[in-house]
Amino acid sequence: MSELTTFEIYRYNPDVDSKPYMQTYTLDTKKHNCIMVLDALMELKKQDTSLTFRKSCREGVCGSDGMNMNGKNGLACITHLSSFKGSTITLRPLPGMPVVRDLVIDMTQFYKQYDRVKPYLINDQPTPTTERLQSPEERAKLDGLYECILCACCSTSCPSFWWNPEKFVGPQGLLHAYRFIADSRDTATEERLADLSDPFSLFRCRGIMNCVSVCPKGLNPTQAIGKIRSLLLKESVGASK
Amino acid sequence: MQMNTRTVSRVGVRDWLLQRISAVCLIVYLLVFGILLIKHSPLNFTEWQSIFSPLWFKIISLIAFLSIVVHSWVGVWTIFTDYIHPWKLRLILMSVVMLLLIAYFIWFVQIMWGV
Repeated sequence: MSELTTFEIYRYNPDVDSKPYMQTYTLDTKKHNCIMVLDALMELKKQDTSLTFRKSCREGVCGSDGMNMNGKNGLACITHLSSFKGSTITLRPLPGMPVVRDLVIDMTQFYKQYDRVKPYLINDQPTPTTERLQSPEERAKLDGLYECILCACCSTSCPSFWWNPEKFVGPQGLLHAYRFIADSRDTATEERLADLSDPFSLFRCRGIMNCVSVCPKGLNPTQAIGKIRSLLLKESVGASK
Repeated sequence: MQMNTRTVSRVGVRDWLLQRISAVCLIVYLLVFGILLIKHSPLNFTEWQSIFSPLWFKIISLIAFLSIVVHSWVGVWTIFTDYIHPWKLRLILMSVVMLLLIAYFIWFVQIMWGV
């Protein structure tokens, strides 16, 4: 028994192609035991070795194979072929980023946003002889924040990121910003909030929640953004925390 | 979690807050206006004038119109900064919108206080 699936894949090699184009492939996914989109891509790579995409862990941990599948961002390695209706699957690179080749995008802007929120603990107190301890309650505040794998599915699905990538920090950057603001061991809250208090860095989020609907780890950047906004609001009316 | 208020820009919060407060003002105004319309129906010129002539209604109408001005200014600024990237063109368009909003506001005051 066979199950033929058609793949429409975005192709672009800047060294050869003057502009991008869509290439059609057909694959018997049943015969090749393809369960996930990445399985099918690896089979197609055997047919056409020029087809280029990123992959690594193949289990939704590394975040390498983020791509746009039938119009929705996600990780190819944990997206079931059976989750698509119809027999045609369209694969494109994550939107709003420069394409290096085929499904591979240039992540420079995305990493700049990550770097901008200073994604590390800042503590100006004397270094203790043992590690800085947290209570279970303090540690629980980081749940839903630290799990981000930097796959870029969220930021590249956000129109505010598309229009102002240099100014808006994006859902990924803001999720990480809150991860450190919420951390009891971090003492740079005021600097972190000050860095996000202009009209673009955080307030360009219009709450459309595309980031929440595509996050392969089930995280909620919109909620984290809301929490930072509440802190900024409290600060602006002089409320003590 | 000590805050140093001097380092935090208020502009982002201010715009965000203004947009929300103005939206609430508009909802409340529309509800009041809707109730008055039902109360004064069937509408004719005398009823219509009796809705708009009390000073309290002129004041809440003025607040509602100011809310429209503020809400649309923040909204249009957001849209322009998203889609109009040449800054000179954006400056011209924003100036046109600002002048229009001021003109509409003056026109509104003249109409309301003419009732």
